[in-house]
Amino acid sequence: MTVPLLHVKNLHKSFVLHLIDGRTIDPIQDVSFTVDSNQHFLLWGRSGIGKTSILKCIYRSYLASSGEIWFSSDQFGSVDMIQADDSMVLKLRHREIGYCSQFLKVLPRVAALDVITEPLVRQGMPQAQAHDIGREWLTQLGIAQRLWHASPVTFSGGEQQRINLGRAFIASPRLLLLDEPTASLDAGSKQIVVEMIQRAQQRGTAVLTVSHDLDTLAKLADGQLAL
Amino acid sequence: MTAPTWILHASGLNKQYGPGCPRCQQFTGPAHNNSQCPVCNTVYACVDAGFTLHQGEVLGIVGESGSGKSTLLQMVNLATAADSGHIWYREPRTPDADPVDLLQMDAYRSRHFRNDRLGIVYQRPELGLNMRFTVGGNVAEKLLLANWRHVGNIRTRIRELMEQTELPPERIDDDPHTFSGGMLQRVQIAKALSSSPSLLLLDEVTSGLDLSVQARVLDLIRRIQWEQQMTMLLVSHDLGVIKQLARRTIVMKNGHIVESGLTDQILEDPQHPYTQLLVSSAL
Repeated sequence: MTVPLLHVKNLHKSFVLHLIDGRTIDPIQDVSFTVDSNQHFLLWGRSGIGKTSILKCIYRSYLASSGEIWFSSDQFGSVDMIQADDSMVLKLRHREIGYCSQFLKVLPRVAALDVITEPLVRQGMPQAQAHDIGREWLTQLGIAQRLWHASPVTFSGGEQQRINLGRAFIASPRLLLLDEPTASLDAGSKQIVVEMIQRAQQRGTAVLTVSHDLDTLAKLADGQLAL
Repeated sequence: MTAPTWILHASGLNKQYGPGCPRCQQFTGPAHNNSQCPVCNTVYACVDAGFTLHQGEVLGIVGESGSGKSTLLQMVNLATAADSGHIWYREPRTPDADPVDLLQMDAYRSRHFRNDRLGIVYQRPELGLNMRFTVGGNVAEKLLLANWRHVGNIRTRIRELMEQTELPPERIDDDPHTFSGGMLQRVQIAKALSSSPSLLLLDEVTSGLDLSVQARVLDLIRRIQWEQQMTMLLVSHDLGVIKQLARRTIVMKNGHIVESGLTDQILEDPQHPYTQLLVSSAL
C-alpha cells in the first residue's frame, strides 16, 4: 500500500484566550484527510470555518490540540508534525514543505528579485544562479522588468500576490500549502496561478490549497474536502 | 550515526541574588508575577533555564525588563557565574570532539574561551567599548587577547572588519566619541567578529537607536549571519527584532522560561498567558 504524502487524522485545534477570561475557541474539530504525492487537494468552505488554521497546524505555525499529522519525508521517513521537535520542523520547512500565506510579508528594503530567490539562496544555490532563475520566474509571473530591483511593498496587490506565490513555488518543495492563492487576483493572474500549480504537480510537488474560489480551482483539484 | 548539530546546550541554569528562604517558592515566579521574595529579598534572576542552540541558527530570547534574559546571556558569556547548571559547548571546528561544560572550566580557559570563541554586542556601546581607546584600539584589544601580535596584521584585520561592518576604514584611529550611535554599534560588531567567534551574543543591540539606524544595524547582522552562517543568541524585548532574525524563540518572565517554540508559532499561536499579553502589546 502506498503511504500518502500527508495524512491528517482526527485533527482538533482550540485557542485558549487567556486575556479574555480564558475563553476557548474551537475552529477545527475532528478533521481527517490524506494528500498523495503530485496531488492537488482542495479544502474549501465558508470564511471562518478553520481552513487556514488547518494549513497552519500542518506548517506548525499553530500547535494542534490533538490528532496526528503524518508527513512522509524524503529525508526523515514518517514525521508527526504535531510531535516533531522544532529543529525537525525547521529542516522540513527548509527542504520539503512550503507555505504561501494570503499576504506577502517582506522587508521594505529587499528587491523583488532577492525576495523571490531567497528560498533558493537559503538552500545553498549561488546568488548569480538563483538570480538567473528568478528573472525567468518574474517574467513568467508578468512582473515588469523595471520593477525587479524595487521592493514588492510598492507593488499592487495582485503583483505582490504573484511574487508571494512565485517565492513559494520556486524552491519546488514536496508539499506546498497555499492559502487562498487566487484571492485579489484578476482573471489573467488567476490563469498564471493555475499554470503554476499544474507545472508544480508535473515537477512532483503535491499542493494543498485552501480556497473559496471553486470556479478557478475546483477543476484543477484531484481530491477535495468541504468543511 | 550523524553527529549532533547543536553547538550549545544549556540546562538547569540558576542565578539568585540573596540567601533564599523556605518561603521563596511561595511568593516568586511567573504565577506570582514576582522575581523577588518579599520575606528574604532574594532576587531569582534565572530559574532552571535551559535551551539548545544549533550551528548557524539564531535563537531569540524575549521578555520584559527584569525577566532574566540578560542574566541568561551573561551566564553564557561567562561574565555572570551561574549558581548551578551546565552549559555544554561543542566546538564546530572539531565536531567529533567531546563537548565541554563551560561552567567547569578554570579561569584561564574560561578567559581564553571568551576572547577567542565568543563575541558580544551590548545595547550601550560604553559596555562593549573602552571609550578612551581609538576605534581601532578597541578592536585591537580583542585581537591582542586572542593572541594576535603583529601590528601590521592587526591593522589590516581591523580595516577588513570596518569594511565588513560598513565603517569607513580611514577612521581607524578616530576617537569613538566622534561616532554616531549606529556607528558605535557597528564598531562593537566589528570587535565581536574580530576573533572569528563561533557564537555571537546580542543584547538589545538596536534598542535606543533611530528607526532608520536600527534597520541598517539589523540588515548588517542579518547579512553577517547569512554570509558566515553565524550562530547567534539574541536578547530583545522587541518582537519585531526577534521576528526578523530568530527562527526559534524562548520567552522569559520573572526569571523563568515560560514558553519556547518556533518564532512564527510564538507570534501567531502563543500558549502562555504572558506570551499572549506580550504579543497583544506589540505595536
